[in-house]
Parts: sequence; structure tokens; C-alpha cells
Amino acid sequence: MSNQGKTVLIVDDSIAVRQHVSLALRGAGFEIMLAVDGIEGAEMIDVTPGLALVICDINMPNLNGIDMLVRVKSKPENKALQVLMLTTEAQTSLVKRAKELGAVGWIVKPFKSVQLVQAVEHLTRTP
Amino acid sequence: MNACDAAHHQILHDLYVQACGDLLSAYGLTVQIQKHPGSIRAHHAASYVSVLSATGEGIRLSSMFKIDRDLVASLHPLGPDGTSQADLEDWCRELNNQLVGRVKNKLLGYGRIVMVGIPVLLMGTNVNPVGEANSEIREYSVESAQGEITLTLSTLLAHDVELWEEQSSPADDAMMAEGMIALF
Repeated sequence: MSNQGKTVLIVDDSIAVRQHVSLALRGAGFEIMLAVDGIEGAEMIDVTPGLALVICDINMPNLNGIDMLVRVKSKPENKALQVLMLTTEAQTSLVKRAKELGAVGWIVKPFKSVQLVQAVEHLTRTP
Repeated sequence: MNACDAAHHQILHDLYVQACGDLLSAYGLTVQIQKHPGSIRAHHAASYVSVLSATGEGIRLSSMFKIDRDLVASLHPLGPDGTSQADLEDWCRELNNQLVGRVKNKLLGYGRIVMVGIPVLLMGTNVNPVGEANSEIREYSVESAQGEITLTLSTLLAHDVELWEEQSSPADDAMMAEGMIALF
């Protein structure tokens, strides 16, 4: 499967998590952009049309992942944007809230690189 | 502290130790976690120290995670080679974040929701926590060939807080499993 030309934005305050996700997805051919919190993530989404996927943590300083999702999805141009949550949070009510807000999936850390790549390839598959 | 209060503190400490074992195992370190009876040891001058709190209705937890440089490097997802000082500082914070996150998830099984803060990092220090009245502080340690981890959990419970594990039912799927992927 060719993932070239597909850009994934990773929003996480942890350097290690950003590095881990980047390494896995770059190895599968994806192009990567990075943001350190929800504010930077929302700003990058505003100026980057055509993102294939956003991978977003929940517990971050300045603006958390759920609030970033609210902000991003409030804009009509982002209705089709796919956002995958990657977090230590496992509370079902939070998962349901993210789904209602328009998230396309939820991964509970720690993750396996192979499974992450499979999920991202599935979500970014072009018909 | 009466026997009932002590039992509820014990549950929190048991969940913490279990969460720590699971976390380290997920990053390839299978070890025994040892409890240190009595007072806090003062001799582990770790390379990195992360402090993180979680609070909920009638519950306050604080986790201090001290780890030696070589050990935190060996647990890094990208491996020990090529990781910078900033990478290791960040990874120490993230390990404590994932540890307390796991405790938070386990508490959901007791019908308790706590909010986790943002981890703070201290470096190159020999610091030790000082408990406040009614808190229960216990220290645990992990030893490996790459170094040592010292974990300190402080628990504070309101007198009316009781922890009872809830019976799960099909309608009450309280949490997702760690490592689980759900695509909607």
C-alpha cells in the first residue's frame, strides 16, 4: 500500500510519543507534521489543507485533546477531517464524547507500532 | 486512621503497584516491585524525578517517580542510543503520566473518576516527599541491571470515601483495555 503524499499531524506534548509515532509512520511512507499541544495543533490544521489524519493526545497543557477536537470540528471545512485519539485515558464516557464530536478512533497507550500503522493505513485508505 | 480507612488506602497502593508492574512490563522490564516498610529512604539520588498528582471527589494521589539515567534510556521507545537529555527528561515525565493514567483507569472499576494533572520534572536531585496529616505515603523500588526506580505514592482520602470494586455488566463497559484500538 502506498502511503506517499499522505500527511499525518501528530499532536502530543510528549517528545517520546511524537518520536515513536513519527518513526512508525515515516517507516510506512507517511509524511509527518508535529504539534506540542492542542493550540498548536488547531493552528496547524487551520493552515494545512488536505491532512490525511490527525493523531491527538488528550491530557496536554494549554489546550487538551477533547477541547482541540471541539475547536477544530466547529469549523465546517474540518467536518471530514479524521482525528484519531491516542491517550492513556480509557474511560468509556470520554471515548463516547470524542466519537460524538467526530473522532474516528481511540487508542489506549502504550501502543504497538505495527497496530498503529495498520489502523492509520485503514483510516487513510483511498477508495 | 481506622482499619476501614487503612483498607481503602491499601487498595490505592495495590492498584499503583499493579499499574507500575504492568507499565514496566509493557516497555520490556519485568521486575519485582519491592515495598519499603517504614520511613522514606533518602539515599536514592536519581537522575530524573517526575511528580504528578491526580484528584477526584474525596481522593488525592501524588506519584513521585525517580529513575536512573541509564534505566530511563533503556526503557525509551526508540532505544538507549541517540536519545538526548531532553528526550530522557520528557520520557521520565511520560512514564509517570502513563503510570498515573493506569491507576486512573483502574479506579474506574471502583466507580471513581480522578483528573490527572501535568507531570513536573526535577533533575539531578535527592528529594523526598513530606506527607501531610492523614495522608498515607509509601515507597517502592525496582532494581535492574540498568539502574533503579524509586516510586513514592501519597494517598489522601476523605473520611466518607469507600472503595468497592464494581461488578461489571454488559451495559456498564466502564473502560477500554490498555493497548486497545477502537475505530468508530
